[in-house]
Amino acid sequence: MKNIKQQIKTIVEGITNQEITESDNLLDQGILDSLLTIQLINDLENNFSISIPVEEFSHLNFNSIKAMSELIIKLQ
Amino acid sequence: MQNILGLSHIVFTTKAESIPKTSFLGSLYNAPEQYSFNHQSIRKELVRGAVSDTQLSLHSSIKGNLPALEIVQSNSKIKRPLHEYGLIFTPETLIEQPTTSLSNTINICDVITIKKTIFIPEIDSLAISSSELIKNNCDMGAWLVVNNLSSVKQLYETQLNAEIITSNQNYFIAKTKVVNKMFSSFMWVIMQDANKQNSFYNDDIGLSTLGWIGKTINNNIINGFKNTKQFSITMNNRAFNAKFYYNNDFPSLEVLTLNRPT
Repeated sequence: MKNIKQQIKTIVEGITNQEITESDNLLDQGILDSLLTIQLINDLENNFSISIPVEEFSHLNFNSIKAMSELIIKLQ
Repeated sequence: MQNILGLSHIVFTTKAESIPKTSFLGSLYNAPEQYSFNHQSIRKELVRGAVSDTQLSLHSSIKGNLPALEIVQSNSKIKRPLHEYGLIFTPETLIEQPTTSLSNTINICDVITIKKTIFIPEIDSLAISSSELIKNNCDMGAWLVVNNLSSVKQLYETQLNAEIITSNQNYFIAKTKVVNKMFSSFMWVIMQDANKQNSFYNDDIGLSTLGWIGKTINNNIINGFKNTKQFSITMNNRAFNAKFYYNNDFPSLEVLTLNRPT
């Protein structure tokens, strides 16, 4: 889990060009917007060899590193 | 099969002359960003009249829960019939808005319960409110009248990644994701009318295009649709590749993919 969170953090920081923390609410704070989230979904799918179905696209699933790591574990 | 992730924007074509401003769109959407595009070689396939640069205003949702609205100006005298399409909002959204007398011209009341019908001058179109949105966990929706319901249903199921909620031989209700901050859901009520008039173009007044974000742009033609060449577009410092699919019956489909820097 810790490793997954670190990988997600690195990916998000690469997309947003800013440092983030695990406690950040990425969408609420405007760190991610909808199009950056689409980029992120693509990178998560490639990095973790998963396919994220459209039904899982939600504010809740992509608002934090914790939520994304739980989603990835569920889909692996 | 298109790799559609969700609806991004809805395009309304309006008369180029001064558009009456109301407070309604302003209560839901940010002040518009203005764009001008010179895509005449692409656009010539899509319009009825003379090709010119595209002047559009892009309205993004204040709360991040609605698809963006694009308003494109046109000199066309051809108007899509008001009763054949429209937007759907929650009852609370329209509570302060005045009812229009045009409400008896639409037949969506045969499919879902309508609380109110209003006219939105900025987009020269009708909108209704219905609790059906809440029931289906959607923040917004649209209705469309088509003359080939089964093929449009197939389009939604196989190309637009839609979840069909209910269907019969007269209509279907579906929902798709919206690519916005909330990744909200958008409800579609598609109704059959074999007498529906055909052959509308993107420069005809009314709902002209549905914009979608995809993972990739599929060069295969969607069944029953022609497609333009792929082109590039930059909005709000974001670069996209895009392609139109059109058949002059259903609103044209604009599929965009993010063009990421390498």
